[in-house]
Formats: sequence, structure tokens, C-alpha cells
Amino acid sequence: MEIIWWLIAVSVVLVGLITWAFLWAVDSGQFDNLDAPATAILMDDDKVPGDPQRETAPSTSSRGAG
Amino acid sequence: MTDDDPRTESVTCFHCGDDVPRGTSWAVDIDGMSRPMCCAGCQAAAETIAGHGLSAFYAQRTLASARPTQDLPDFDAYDDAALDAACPLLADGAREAHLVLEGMRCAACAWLIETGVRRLPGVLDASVNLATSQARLRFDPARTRLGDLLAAIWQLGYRAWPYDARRRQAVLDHARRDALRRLGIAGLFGMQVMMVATALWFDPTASGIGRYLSALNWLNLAMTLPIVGYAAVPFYRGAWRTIRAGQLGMDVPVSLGILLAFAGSVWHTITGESTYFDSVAMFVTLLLAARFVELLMQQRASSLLDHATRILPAVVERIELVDGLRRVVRVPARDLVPGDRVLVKPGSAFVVDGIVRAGASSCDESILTGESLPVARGVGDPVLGGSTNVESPLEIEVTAVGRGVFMARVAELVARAAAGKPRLAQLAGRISGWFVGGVLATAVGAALWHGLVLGQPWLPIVIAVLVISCPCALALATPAALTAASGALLERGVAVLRTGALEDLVAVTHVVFDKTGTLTTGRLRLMEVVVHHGDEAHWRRIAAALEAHSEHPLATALVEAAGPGPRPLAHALVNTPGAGIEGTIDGVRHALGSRRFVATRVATCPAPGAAAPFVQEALLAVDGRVVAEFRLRDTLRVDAVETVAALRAAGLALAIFSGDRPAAVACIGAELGIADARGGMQPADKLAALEALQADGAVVAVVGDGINDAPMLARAALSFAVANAAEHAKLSADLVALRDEIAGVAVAFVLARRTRQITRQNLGWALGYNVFALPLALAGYVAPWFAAFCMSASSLVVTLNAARLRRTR
Repeated sequence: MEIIWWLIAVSVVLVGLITWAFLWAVDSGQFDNLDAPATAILMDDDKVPGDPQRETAPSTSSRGAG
Repeated sequence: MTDDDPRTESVTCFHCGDDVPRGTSWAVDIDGMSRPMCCAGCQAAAETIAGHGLSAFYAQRTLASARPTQDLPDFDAYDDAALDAACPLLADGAREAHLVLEGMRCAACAWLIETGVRRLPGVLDASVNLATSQARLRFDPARTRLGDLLAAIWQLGYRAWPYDARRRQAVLDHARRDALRRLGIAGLFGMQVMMVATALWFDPTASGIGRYLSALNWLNLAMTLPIVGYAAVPFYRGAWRTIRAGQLGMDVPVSLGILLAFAGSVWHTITGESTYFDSVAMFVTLLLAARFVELLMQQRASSLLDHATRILPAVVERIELVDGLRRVVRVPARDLVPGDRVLVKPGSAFVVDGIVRAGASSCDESILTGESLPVARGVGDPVLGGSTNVESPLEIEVTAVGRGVFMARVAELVARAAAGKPRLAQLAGRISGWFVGGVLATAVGAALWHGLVLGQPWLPIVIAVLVISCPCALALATPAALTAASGALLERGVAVLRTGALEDLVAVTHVVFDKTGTLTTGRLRLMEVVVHHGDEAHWRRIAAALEAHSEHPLATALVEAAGPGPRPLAHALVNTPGAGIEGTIDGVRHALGSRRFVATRVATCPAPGAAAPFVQEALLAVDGRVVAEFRLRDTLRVDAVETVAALRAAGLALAIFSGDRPAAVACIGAELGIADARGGMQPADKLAALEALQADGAVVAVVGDGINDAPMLARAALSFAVANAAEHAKLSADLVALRDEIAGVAVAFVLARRTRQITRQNLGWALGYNVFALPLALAGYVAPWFAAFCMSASSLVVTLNAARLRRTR
């Protein structure tokens, strides 16, 4: 049963890591828009018939820090 | 959209899903298929979408699109007057614009706007948020202009307005993130606490884990610290606020329960007894979750009508003398001073009060005064800021700006009226005061009894009483029902702006309607044609030909009444604003206008008929004689009759207070069967009449749309603004319709009554549970794990019961 000391230590470290990740996610706006990105990935937006103005650089889909 | 009647083979518009009118042939080629369209607006939007290779939108969307508007506003103004307000300059030289979007229905719409805008040259980034109907764009001002971006979104079939993000969005975002952070922390650490606590629930000595009891208690103590010290802080603040106000709010026993249970558990950790950390964690997490959902609901409702912060560039054309010549210069409205001369084109709004110095036109003042028809304005007449010029250009001299403008004066009246708004006692508030007092008294009594009389340790009993009676279900009972009801109303197109408005709705005894724009659409319709000579259909076409190029509502109604067929062409038109129009058709001079206007052009003018229920008439004269009389009136909304009938069936007394002419108001009142129909009322008159009603003990709800209703809306116990209402009216309202209909009023009443029923069931359950559990806790029979289980179960019952509101009818 001495393993319980290890388990306690591991769980404390884990909850710390998860908390850090969660706070980062909230502060960087990951929870601000929960609907649009879900469909954005399903849609094919490369099909541009004869549009010379299409920019060659891939569009920046990052949300950018708020 | 409802399904089409199977008997008629109607074609539906591929873009918006409405029926395609017969005899029209709008269509767009989408992915090789010709798709029918109902109007030029849908056609233009669909062509834009298909032309940009975005037709995947139609495959992905889950709802038909909103019907686009056909005429685009003047976007250029955003690039000279309002640019800095609308989009702040970022450090890297780019500009950032925050937009409010209207017409978005599903996630595919968000994709369409994002993709469509990103393809424009000069756009650096675009992100669209469906939940809040807002968009954020970053663009390079050297390569594109804000006006072009707005126009592109409008062409896709949506309406977009910049708004001042710095003022409101930052506050909303901060509140939401803060609540989410606290909820997340409570949840994460709560899981940790529960994991350990579950192991300790079942006879720790038998499972062999008892040896580590002390260490595990210390671990839970550490894990509960962030919950008690950070996540639960809003409860302490709430409790402090109510105590300072001299009341006992729900947050008082919540805070006491949290702090006492935590303090007691800390003491037991030191002495090595069983602890209540799991109860604390679960309690805080559940309550925070309920409040978070409530917050999201409120923010969603208010962001949908974020019109208050919408930036409308007020640019005016000022007449200046340059080298002795009169020149028109575009200047921001804030630079105007009294005495300036301003040119106002037909179709644009007056931004200031003034006096007409040149020209003659008619002005639509319906939003200010409730007058349903444009009023004639000539040289020397005053015009009001906020009204719209309808017919021809006017040169006005500015008499008042800023705080002196009519609208600003009404705003002051609104502020004064709001201070006198009756506050109805809330059911939960009444109960919670007694309940909280009762729980605290019981706890103190138990402490005294166990401590002084029996001589036992009293702390565990007090904690048990506070934890088990911790009004989890009671605290959730009302918010859960209100949140579910707000959600259900939002789906039916009504936004609830003030929490508690639904509870107040139940107490309402009188409903007062405004007329123009609320019960009626504010548009004229041809009622009957009295023909003196010739053929009615021919005169209808002649009238339409004369009025084809006028913006006046009478003209629009006559053109509409003529039908879609070919009509003759009129030329040499002479318009006399506020009176009539003359023109030549097939070589013959025709005159169409008011009785007085026509009387000067004919030998004998027929006497006006009996007082018929119409508000406007137009006589057509040819060759010196009157050939036809057109009678028009304001039209009721399609859902007005049903709504009034539903409200009357609910036992409410109804009245109409309007600024329009008494005859027109009486006519609408008779049609709807509302006896108390008063007309000709100024904003202050309406307020006085409302106060008279309230003095007689009536609880009044007001349904209105105009600036002139705003004071009344602010003063009423409950107020409802319709979708196209003026901003002042919306800001003063408790409920706002999001769609252009008033059926939402009746729905709100039905849902409010249902909400009260559910709230009562919830309160009954919560109180019953406490009455059952409290004696057990007092006697010391309740194990912590059972208390925690009962608490969650009772909260779950309350939440699920509230969720039934979403399925109401």
C-alpha cells in the first residue's frame, strides 16, 4: 500500500498540469467560439472557379489571442 | 418555416425557403442546377455565393437563410466619419473591426461569412461567433476599406454593423471568462476531492485505507482550498451585498454553509475525524454551474440586440459659403452648431432639430410621435431630430444639437420614469428570506440544545443541518426555471433582458399597446376604390404610374395595389409635397392627391363620404372631373388579432395609447374589440395615463415601439418592445421581440404562467426535501455521503423539471 504516496503525488501533479492547461485555454479564448470551427473543418473552401484574386497563402485560421 | 400546404403546388425559394410569388422568374444557377428564387434580394445573395465558389454552404446549412434586404445602406460614411470609432488602429498598422451580424441561422452561415470575407484582398483575419452573432475582422487599411468589407457581407445576404467593442464586449468577455475560470477550478479540484472522498465513504477500516485517513484528509483540505478561497468568492460577495442592504439573500446560508463546513472539516482533519470536503466541493460546483448557464443565457439574449452600441456614422451635408458661393460639404454631425444650414436628402434622417428654410417635403415622424402618416413640412416648419425626410430635399437651419434635441429630452423623461418603476416582490425572494431565517434559527437552536442541554459536541450537528438544508435545490429552483424559460422564449424570437421579468409577467393585469408600428405595420393598404367614371383596374394602373417614383407610403400602397402587370408611363410629373402629384399619361394630364388639391383642378368635387374607417384618401382627376377615389388605411399586423384574442382569453384588460389621430386609433380599436383606445397622446400624456392606471392598483405591461413609448416602457411594471423599435424603446424594455411580429407577447404570457407553475413545483420539492431531511440531520442520523447524494439528487430533479419548459407547446 505504500504506492498510495506515489499516487497522491502523481494526482497532485496531474491536477496542477490540468489546471494550468485549463486556465491557458480560457485566457487564450479557446472557449469563446464553440460552434463555427466545428463546421469550418468539414467545408471545402478551396474550390474557387476562375478567381484570380485568391490569395496563395493559406488563410490564417488561428483565433489570435484576445 | 412550416411545411407547404400539399394541395397547392407552390415553389419555395432555394435561398430563404419562402414561397416564390406566381408570375416571377428569378433563378440562379447553382452547381449546374437552376434554382428558383423569390425576390431580387435572394437572387443577388445566391449569385454572390455561387459566384465566389461558396455553394457548399447550401449543402451544409441546416436552416433556410434569412431573406436579404435589397437596398444596401451608404457604407462610404464609415470610411470618413466613423472609421476611428468603428475600428481601432492596431500596433502593426492593421485595423480591427467588431461587427454585429443579423440573419445568421446556423454554423454554415458563420462559415460562409468567414470564408467570403477572408477571400477579399487586404483581409488579414476574420472570425465569426455564431453564439453571440458577432464577428471580428482584421484588415490592412492600405488595401481595403471598412465600407467594402461591410458591403461584401451584405451581398452574401446578411446585415452587418460595426459596434463599439471597447465599451461592452470587454466587460462581457471578462465576466464570462471569470465565471468559466471559477467553474473549471471548482470542477477540477472537486473531482479530485470526490475521488478521495468516495474511497472514505465505505467503512475505511475494512478496506484497509483507514491507516491513511489523516493523510487523505490533509490532501482533501489542500484540494478544497482553491474551491473555498477562489471559486466560491462570488457567493461571499453576494452575501455581503445583501447583508449590507439589510436583507437575508440566498447567498447568506450558501456562504455560511460553505465556510462552516470547511472550517469544521479543517478542525476534524486536525482531530482525525470524518470530514465534509466533498460536500463543499460538490455544492460549490453545482451552484457555479447553474449560475454560469444563467449568465450565458443572459449574455446571448443581450448580445442579439446589441444595437445600443452599434456605430452609425452621422454625416450631414452642411451648406457653407466658399468664396461667396454656396457649397455642400460633408461634415460629422457632432460639428454642427445652431444656426448652421444643412441639406437633408429624401430617405435620410434628421440628426438634429431644425426649421425648414427651403424646399417642401413630408417627414416620417412615426417613431417619435406615433403619427402613422408622414406630415407635410414647408418653409418655416420645425423638423425633429430622429424623424426621416420622405419626399424631396430640404434645407434646414439647425436650432438644437446634443442635449437639446427632442430625442434627448425624451431620454431624460425615460430616466425619470424608470426611477418610479414598481418593483414586484419575487416569489423566490419572499420564500428565501423566511427560509434562510428558519435555517439559521434551527442551526442555532440545535447548537444550544446539543451543546448546553445534552452536553454533546454541537459542531457536527450544526454543520449537518447547514449542509443538508443548504438550499441547493431551493437556490436552483427559480433560476433553473427562468433560464429554461428564457431559452424557450429566445427560440420563439423573444429576448428576456431583465431577469425576473418573467416572474413579473404573471402579476400583470393590464396590457397597454401602442398603435403605429406595434399593432399595425405602419404601412398603408388600399381598402376600396370608389369609381365615378370608367374602369377601376385602369384607374389603379394610372395611379400607380403617377406614384411610381415616390417614396411616400401612400404611393407605395397604390403601386402595390396595381398589381404586377404592365402599367402606362407617366412624364412631366409635378409633385406638391403633402398634397398631390400631377403628370401626363398618353398625352392627357392627370392629377392625384388630397381632396383639397384636386378640388382646385376640377369643376365639381364630390363631397366626402360618410366617416368610413380609412385614414387617407387620394382622388384621381382627369379632364376636369374626378373619376375615382382611393381609400387607404394603416394595416393591422397579421398576428395582431390572434394576439389580442389570446391576451383577452387570459383575462387581461387591454388598452391602446397612441400618438396618432384619435379617429384612426378608434378605428383600429373597434376592429380589435379594444374599447379603451386613446389617440393624440404626447409621450408625457402617455406616461400620465399609465400612472393613472397604476394609481388604481393596476399592474401594467406596455407593448410599444417608438421613442414616444420609451417613457411609458420605462415606467411600466413590465415592458415589451417590438423588433423594429427605436433604440430608446428597446433600452427601456424588459422583453424585446427579435422577429417582426407581436405574437411573442402572447407566447411570453403563456410561458410566464407555465414558468411560475414549474417554479412552484421546484420550490415545493426543495422545501419538502428539507422538511424531510432536516429532522434526520438534527437527530444526527445523516451520513455525509448520504447528505451529498440527497443534495445532488434533489438539484437534478429541480433542473430536469425546469427543462420541461423548453418543450412547452
